[in-house]
This record gives sequence, C-alpha cells and structure tokens, in this order.
Amino acid sequence: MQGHGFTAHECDCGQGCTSFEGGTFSIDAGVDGVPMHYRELNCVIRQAIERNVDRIMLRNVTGQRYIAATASKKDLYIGIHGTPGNNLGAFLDGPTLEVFGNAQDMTGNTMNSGKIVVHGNAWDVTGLSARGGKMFIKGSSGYRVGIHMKEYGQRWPSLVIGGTAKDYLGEYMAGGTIVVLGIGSKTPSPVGVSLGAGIHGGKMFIRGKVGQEQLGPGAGIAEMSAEDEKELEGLLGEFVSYFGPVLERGFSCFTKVAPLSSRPFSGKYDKTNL
Amino acid sequence: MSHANAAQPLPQPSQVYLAQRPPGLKYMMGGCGIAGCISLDGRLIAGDRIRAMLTIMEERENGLGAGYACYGLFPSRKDQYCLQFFFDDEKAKERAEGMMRFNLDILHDEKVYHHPVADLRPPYPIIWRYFANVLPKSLKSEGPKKGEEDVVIDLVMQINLEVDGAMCISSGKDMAVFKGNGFSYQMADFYDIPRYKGTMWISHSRFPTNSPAWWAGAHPLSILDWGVCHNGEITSYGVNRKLVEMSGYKCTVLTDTEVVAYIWDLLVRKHGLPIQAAAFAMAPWTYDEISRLDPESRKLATWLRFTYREAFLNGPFSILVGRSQPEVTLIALADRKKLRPMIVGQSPDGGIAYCASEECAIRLVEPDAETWATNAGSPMIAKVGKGILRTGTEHPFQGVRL
Repeated sequence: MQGHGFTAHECDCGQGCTSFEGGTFSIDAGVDGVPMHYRELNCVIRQAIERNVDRIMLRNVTGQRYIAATASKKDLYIGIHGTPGNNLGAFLDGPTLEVFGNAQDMTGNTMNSGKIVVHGNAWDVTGLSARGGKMFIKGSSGYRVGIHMKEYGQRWPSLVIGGTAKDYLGEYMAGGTIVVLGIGSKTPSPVGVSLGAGIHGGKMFIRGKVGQEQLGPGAGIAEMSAEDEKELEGLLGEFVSYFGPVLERGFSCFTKVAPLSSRPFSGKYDKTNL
Repeated sequence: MSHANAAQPLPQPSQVYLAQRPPGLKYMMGGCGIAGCISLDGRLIAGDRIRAMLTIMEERENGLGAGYACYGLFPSRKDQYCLQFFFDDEKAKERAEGMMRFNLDILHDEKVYHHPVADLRPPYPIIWRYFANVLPKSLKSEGPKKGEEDVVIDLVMQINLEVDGAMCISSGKDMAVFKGNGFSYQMADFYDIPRYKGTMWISHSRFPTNSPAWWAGAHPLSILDWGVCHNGEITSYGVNRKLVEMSGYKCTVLTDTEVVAYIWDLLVRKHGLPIQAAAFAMAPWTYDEISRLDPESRKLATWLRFTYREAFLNGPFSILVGRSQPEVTLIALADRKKLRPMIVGQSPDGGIAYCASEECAIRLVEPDAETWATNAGSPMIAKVGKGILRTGTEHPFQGVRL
C-alpha cells in the first residue's frame, strides 16, 4: 500500500476486495460470488487512477457497466477477467483496456483515444460513435457495429473484428477504419446486409465476399490503394501481436467498402446544395 | 383555486419541480431484462438460479414489475389446468369461483405461497391457485366445435373482463406464473422463488415505457400454458390487437405484450404452424431480402407475410416464450433488426440452455458456458429432453416443410 495511500478496505465493502502488489492494483469485483455494484467498482477504479496507479487488474467482473468510462490517463492499463457490462470504456481517452472474456453491448461507446483489446466476442453496437483510438476483437461481433464512427481533427478510430459482424456494420460512418477478418465464418461473406448504409467517410476492409445486395445506400466497393494496404498491414500486425497468427491469405482477398460520396444525402434535406 | 366539484378536489403533487429534476428521472436509464433457462436432459432447475440470472441485470429495471414463470412444476398434477388469480377481495374471489365452477371441475385450491418482504409495501392482492379439469358438458357447443383449451381461454377472458378485482395470471397445465409490482429481487423474495424446482424458467424485470405498472400487468403475460416475457415495445399493437380480437381473444391487461402471447396461441396451437414459421410471421424479412431466398423458401415466406401480415410485430423487441404442451419448450426471439439484446448459452455438459438480455446473467450461473447471439428474427428453440433444436443462427426455414 505504500506510496499510494490506500487503506485496507477502500471500497467500503468490508471484505478487503482490493490489494496492491508489485505495481498492480487488483480489485475483486465479486467477493464470495456477490457482484459489486458498478458504481462502487467504478469509484474504486477512479480512486486508484487518482493515486497514480498505472496497472489495474479486475477479477470476477460480472456485468458491471461503464468500466473505465471517461478514464484519461494515457499510460494506464486495465485488465479485466470476467464479463464486463455494457458501455465498457465509454468516452475512453487514453488508457488500454484488455478483456479476457466476452464483452457485452456498446463497448467503446464514443471512445476518444486509447485501446480496447477483447479476447472473445463483443456483441451489438460495438464501437458506436468512436472518434479515435483502436479496438481489437478476437472473436465475433453483433448488429450495428461501428455505427457513426467519425474522424475528428487528427483522430482516426480503428476497429478490427476477427470473426464476423452482422447487419448495419458502419452505418452512417463518417471516418475511421473497420476491418472484419471473418475467421471461422460459415458463410462466404462475414458481414450482413445494409453494410455502410449512409456512409460518408472512412472505409471498411472485409476479408471475404461482399455482394452488391449487401451494400447499404451510399456505400460502394472500391479499389485498395497502396496506402490502404499499408494501413491494413499495420492493423493486422497489431491484431496478430495480441491474438497470435491467424491469417494465411494476402490482401487480395479483402474487399474495400468506401463511401460513394462525402454527402450521400445531399439535396434531400439541405436545400442550399440543390 | 376553486373547483366546481368541491367533494373531489384534483390531486395536488406534493412538491412542484421547476428547474430541479424530479426524483423519478434518475431511473431513466434502462430497458427491461429477460432471462430464461431450460433443462435439456430433464433434470430439475431450482429457482435460485433464475433469481440470480434476473437480479444481476438490476440496471435494466426500475421496480415497476417483475415476474417468473416455472414449467414442469406440478409433476403430480401435470394433466390438470392450474389457474392462478389475483383478487382484490373475497367478493371478487367468490364471483370468479362461481364462474369457474360452471365450466370446471375444481379438484384442489390453495393460497399461492407468499410472504411480506421488508421493502415491498402492502397492499398485496389475494393470490390463489386452482387445479381443475374442464367439465365435459362445457365442450358441447351449438357453434363451432370447442376444445378444452378454448373453454379455458373463454373463461379466463370472461373473468378478466367481467369480474371487478379479479385477474387471471396463468391458466396452463404444469406451469405457474409468479409476478407483481416490484423489483425482481422483491418478487423472488415475496414468492420465495428458490422453493420451486422445474424443468424450465422464464423471467422478466420491467421498465415500463408506455403502459401502466400494476400487478397483473407485470410479465410473464400468460394464456393457457403460453408465457411471454418481453423487452421492447410493440408499435403495431393496434393491428395485432385487431387480429387476436377477431379470433376471440380479449385484451385486458393494458400492455402490448399480451397480444404476443395470444398471437403465439393463435398461430401455433390453433393454426398449427411450426414454431419457426410463426416466428417468421412475427418478425418477417423484408420483401427485398425475401426475393433473394431459394424458390421454396421464397414461396413460404411470401405466403406467411400475406396470410399473417397482421401478426407482424413492428417495433423493437426481444421475447422469451414458454409453453408446456405438448412438451416443455423455450423460444427466444429478437425482432428482425435485432434492436433489443438476446444472448443464448449452453452449459459445458450440454444439460442446460440459457438465454438472457446480457451475457453476465449466463456467466454468473454458468461461468464456462458456450455463448452465442441469435440472429435478428431467428428463434432459438429448445425442448426438455430433446435439446436445442435450433440455435437461432440458421436459415429461416431450415427443417420446415409445408
């Protein structure tokens, strides 16, 4: 405890659910099988961040929401064992989160910068409205993933999904990069329909087939440039560094999906552009 | 301020909120929680498991309704109808019993076990259970031929409509519903859910958005052995209600979910549709998607959309549906755009299947479960003793033949 000023029962649960050893602050979020309330857990995490801890390990996480929401300490690492709840890392601005299990819905909601690594699946609406940072999902994802991702200033969000994604991937996307690798996919295309509906910025790289009928309004299939390959190589390299070698084939099996126009609804609502 | 009718002054709020946020609004984050589990190998599942699954998702409820339905609950009376009621007073109970005796042979009746819990304030309704057989004379009808089930449905609808202060909350064989107006943990304690063991459980914690919170309006909504737990809202309620009312069902619970229970009964029990065909009628693909199906599926899909266009449930929903006849069955279905969450899991030994709004509900009771998400509009179907017949990720009509 020295140097950080922790008392034995910081979270007030009276059961000594926290410990500080070898530079790692550990929190047991489910002592004796009783899950801690998410407000309490986030309070303990925030107290640890305030005391300048840079490595936090959470154990027995069971659906606690908003873990590390708004955390902004750049060199902070939070490891999570269990199943974090909805809105993991919402508004995250700098730290790295690593989940050893599955994440629930809305992981990385409106993330600003930082990194989220999930050694499992991350279900519906992952990465919604992200405006920066990187997300790597080893397994599959659900519906409406990466909707309204956007670039902002120098920020450019990236989302890599190892398995599959369902309908409405990258809907209303306004910037950033989504990669779907389709590992273990039982169908020729690892993505669903309405792909990139209303997209007007950013790009998607889908490993596998993408039919015209899968594309939503405003989305089109584009040629991969040298710059794209370089970016993809970097993201895949990072993916492999977390989850091990997973790919055999080269860039030729990727389909690039990009906006047909930066203003797909021009003239529909905005009379000034008629 | 003066009113013409001084004897009945308008109710005044105890405090007027101007720029200060009223206390109710701190609960605005939410969305109902649903959880279910089914024994695939026939072992009994105790109620503490479903209690744990539902209460872990406390953030999804706001204390305005919760409930549990247990199937395979009365092995010694599994061929008798179990009717459970809420009564406001003894008079309503007597009137309802009088109407029941006209059609039913009541073999046994008892108080449904419940006890006061500290933070759930009375009044509580009288909660009573009847085991009964349908009298042969009530099957005789001058109109269309009536089955036992039709007699029970007509009786339940009549009591709900005509007897003030009486509401039937479940009326099926080998099952019972335990619900009320409170948090999920309060209802579990109130009925002492862990005292029961069954082969299947479905449960619901409520966050009412557009219908009143009252004891009978909590989920599961049930008719015969059908039980429905629903997260979401049925915006097509008016059209769906027209369909079921034309078929003799009466909507009495002031909640959109009750039409879902009646539609399942109409399509599957009365019309004999396979479960996944009925699910397709409720959560159909768009015509654009249907046009890309193989010719046989396209024909079936078009036929279902034409015939059952009023069964199409529009709006976001994920539902858990249970039934005990002819065998205990669990159906988990999300709407065709999957606007509400649904996660399915199976225990490592393959003996129990789970479904819930959030994965944590499954992991809490089965840390090493295999989990997957169902596809939009694609039902997961499991039966006691038979296993998972459909994972919810298949082609819409896999295994269906006309």
